[in-house]
Amino acid sequence: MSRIRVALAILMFCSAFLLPWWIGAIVGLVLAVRYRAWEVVLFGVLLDVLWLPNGLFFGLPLASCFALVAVWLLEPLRRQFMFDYAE
Amino acid sequence: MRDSGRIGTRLLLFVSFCVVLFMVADWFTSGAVRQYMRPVFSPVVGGAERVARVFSQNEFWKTRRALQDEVAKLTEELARRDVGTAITAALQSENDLLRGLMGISDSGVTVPITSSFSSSPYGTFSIGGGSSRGIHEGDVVLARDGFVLGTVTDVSINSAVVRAIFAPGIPSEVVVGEVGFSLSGRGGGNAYAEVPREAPLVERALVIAPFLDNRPVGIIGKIESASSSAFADVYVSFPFNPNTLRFVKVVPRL
Repeated sequence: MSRIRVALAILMFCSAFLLPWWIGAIVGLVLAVRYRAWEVVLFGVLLDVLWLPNGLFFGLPLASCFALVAVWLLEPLRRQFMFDYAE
Repeated sequence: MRDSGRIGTRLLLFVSFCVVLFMVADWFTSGAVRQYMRPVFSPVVGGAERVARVFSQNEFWKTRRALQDEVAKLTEELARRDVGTAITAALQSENDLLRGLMGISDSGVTVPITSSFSSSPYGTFSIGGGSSRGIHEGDVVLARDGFVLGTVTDVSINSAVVRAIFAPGIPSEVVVGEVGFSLSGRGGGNAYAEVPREAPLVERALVIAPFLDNRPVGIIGKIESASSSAFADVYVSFPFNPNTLRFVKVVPRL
């Protein structure tokens, strides 16, 4: 894992506890565009574990769903445009 | 390159599979899995908040911080005055009288807020008290002056998650005087409603939530209406900055 990826992941996870959640969402999107970022999926789970209240959206863990969809939907884009794509 | 790519794909597949399993298990157990995992992270949330507080009070940030505090304090003071002390006091005494007549007392517990208001995408925050302090799901969380901040949705032993009354997209039925309407939460202590233009509403009026034991939830901050529209846009907010709160009172619902 590159240093940039690690730094972005740390920033993303910090946003779940300290920073506004949308900072983590933006960083997660950047990570998902550039890498096969499994940590983005874990970030989604962390947001749901920490903050999803009972009874909201029929109990659907939205953050996890969005993270999964983002990471997998961006796969073709990553393959197409990241010519040095390996990670 | 190709090998590391394959490992990356496999790792992503594995994590995704685990997460889907977690989601399915959580769905079928109505959030029990989450509730089981949450206490593991509660100390981290509380610790992070404390660290942030220490960091923000550091010498390096002092000048800027002092100015920010002063601005926040003055804004808050202004907003407080806007509420109309006389009206609130009158309502409060009436409320106390009625509660006294009904034999109801606000025997709540005071607990600290242990998270930032902005970290949650769902408009929730955590408090440092749970079932061990007698807090139950559905209890009402009050700020100073008795304004409702939210309701308790998930309870662990030593912590609880509170859904803010003005969480994004959450509707609340409220009344102002004799006018009833539905507020839609916008997050950050703000809410919005569309009401008929003829409705006798004024800015700074107290907004009451009948479904939360007739407690105040905010004040009308602004009313905008275009002459071409039959409706007026009403913006409601707390009369204080929720980010300055350190403690809240949790009271059982009647």
